[in-house]
Amino acid sequence: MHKIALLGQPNSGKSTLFNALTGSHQHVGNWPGKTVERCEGSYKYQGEAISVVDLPGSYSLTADSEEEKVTRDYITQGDADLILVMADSSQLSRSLYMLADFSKMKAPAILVLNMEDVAKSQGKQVDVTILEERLGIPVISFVAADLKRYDKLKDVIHDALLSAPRLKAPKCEDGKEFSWISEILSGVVTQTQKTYTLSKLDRMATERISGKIFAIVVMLLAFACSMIVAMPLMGIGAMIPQILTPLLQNAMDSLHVHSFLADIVSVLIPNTVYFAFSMSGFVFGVNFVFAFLEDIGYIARVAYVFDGLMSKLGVQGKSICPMIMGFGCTIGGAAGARVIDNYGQRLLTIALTWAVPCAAIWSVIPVLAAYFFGSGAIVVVLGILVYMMLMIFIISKVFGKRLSPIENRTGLIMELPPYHKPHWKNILYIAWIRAIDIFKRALKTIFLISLIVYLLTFSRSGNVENSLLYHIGTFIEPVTRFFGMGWQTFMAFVSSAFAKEAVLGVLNAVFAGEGSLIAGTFEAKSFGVDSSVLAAVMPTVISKAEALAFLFAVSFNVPCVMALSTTYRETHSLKWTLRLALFFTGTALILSCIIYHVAEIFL
Amino acid sequence: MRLSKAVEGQKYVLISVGRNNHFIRRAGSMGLVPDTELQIVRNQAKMPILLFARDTLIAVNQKDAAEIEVKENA
Repeated sequence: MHKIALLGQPNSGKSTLFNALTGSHQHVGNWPGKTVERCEGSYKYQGEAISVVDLPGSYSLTADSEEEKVTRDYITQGDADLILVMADSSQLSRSLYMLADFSKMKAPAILVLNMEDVAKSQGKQVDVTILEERLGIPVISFVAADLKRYDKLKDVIHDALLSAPRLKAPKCEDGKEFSWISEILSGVVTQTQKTYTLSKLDRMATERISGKIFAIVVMLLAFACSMIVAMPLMGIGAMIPQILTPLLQNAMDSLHVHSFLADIVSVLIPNTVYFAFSMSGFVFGVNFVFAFLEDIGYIARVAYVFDGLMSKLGVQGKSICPMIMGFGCTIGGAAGARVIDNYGQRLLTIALTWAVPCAAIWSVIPVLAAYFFGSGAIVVVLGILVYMMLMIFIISKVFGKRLSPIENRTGLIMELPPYHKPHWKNILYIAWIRAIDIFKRALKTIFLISLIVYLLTFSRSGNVENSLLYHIGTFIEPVTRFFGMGWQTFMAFVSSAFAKEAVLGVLNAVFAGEGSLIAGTFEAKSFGVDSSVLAAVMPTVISKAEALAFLFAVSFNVPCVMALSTTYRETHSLKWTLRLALFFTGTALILSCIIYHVAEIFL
Repeated sequence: MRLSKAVEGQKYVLISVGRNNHFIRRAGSMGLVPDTELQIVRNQAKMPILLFARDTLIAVNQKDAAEIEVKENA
């Protein structure tokens, strides 16, 4: 099988080309022993499969970072039959740098001049024929986001695989890259821009204060838009248990199936499908909106205005996008972390996003807090926000050095691409592929974790006290007491790792005796909980100190199973997903312990 | 003069990119090498400098910009 590799600087449109070329035939992993992502995929040309490797985004081939080492080694080892070197037609005199660096190696290559549409709109024209003659390799003018152009690209690749063209231009000497480029380019580009004026919008978007406010507003709008885009899919998903559960229950009853199995079929399976459905709906929405913002060139402005702040945490300015998204939904945050081009920093960004309590938590916490503290609930909410900042700081200290080595944190020097019109087809296509992908994978993860939670909460009589979770909870209550939680709150804490809405459902089953634990855990999301009884009963059983400890523990516990599943998908590292999950559970318990014992003195 | 002190709207020629090899290579890959002509698009306090060079809008940290030496382009 022929193998081609994509080489280009960040922003060259490399990943757009990779996604459009390979579609859903992708396999993402890590380069052996490195925290550098390895993206491989394939496509068919005239019945023949061609494998595509997306080399890690790097600025040059000097082996300054892990990404550059991987890329350099890959090319020198001659693993690929053909290298596609990418450059930006609208800024050729700068973006041919990679080709200049590449000229020092001997590998068959073609040159892809991306963003022809942007160059054209700026009145720039590139003479491809002269360029081909000088370089001795095929040169193709291209728009990576335009799906119609791929047939031609595939033809060019096919021919090049047969003829294995090599650069005939002289090797570029070290440090002479730009004189090499200007020799190659003389008479090739018709016009170059001499001065640049910021548009009014861009002046505002890059201003110190208003730029930040604008970015936050855009992110909140982005969340709202993703919800709107996702709504139809989520709506269909929500109907699955509502329609299927009663039907299946009746069927199971009439067949006299044991209630243990009957619940798996009628409650667990429809809810798993529903969760996977709404999750992929949301991932679709987030990817759609983020792909749009990236495509038109806005994400780079967010990176610019927030870099000073975010670099203190060891991540890029862009990382603020997934983190703000996290206030809505951690799944969205984890999926949106794709805008971070560096693997380690992406992982760190996801870890930081986990520390941001999601909308489901915000819908549960004030309600519960009001039962115990009345109007003091506002203080609890503020306290949670303050601890969130602290948690973000702690995470960057604990994981920052590993995931984003300090010597690799170069000062900000980045390109701000020109704004351009969105390529809708490509945006939709990418969002769709990712949603399908997450749906398939999520079914498995969610079912597995649901099954564990189900086994813990199952009780033959429907009575809470017959469940395994109750027995475990009461047995280890002396221990959980130390951490500030009695068996009831501990059960709710455990189920909050499944879905944050389950907290109310489980407490309702425990205190009001309404519905089984299973219904409380699995159906709180689709049916909601009437909590009037809870309000009356809970404060008589649970002390204020315990309540406070519990509220914080739930807010900073591991995110829900769907967020875990998305994190695993985006990082493709089980080790890191588990490591983070353990860290969050551990810190939530310690936090609860401290709050309980301190609060006992004062409350 | 230092790039960090450069004036918005003015044009300059780059003289040197400081002493950190890592940064010199990184700046080089973005097109910032000695003799490069550049225009300051924006220079606001506490924000990275925006400059235009080789058809590209580039942001450079204030701290790094203080290491970059430029002269006015007559």
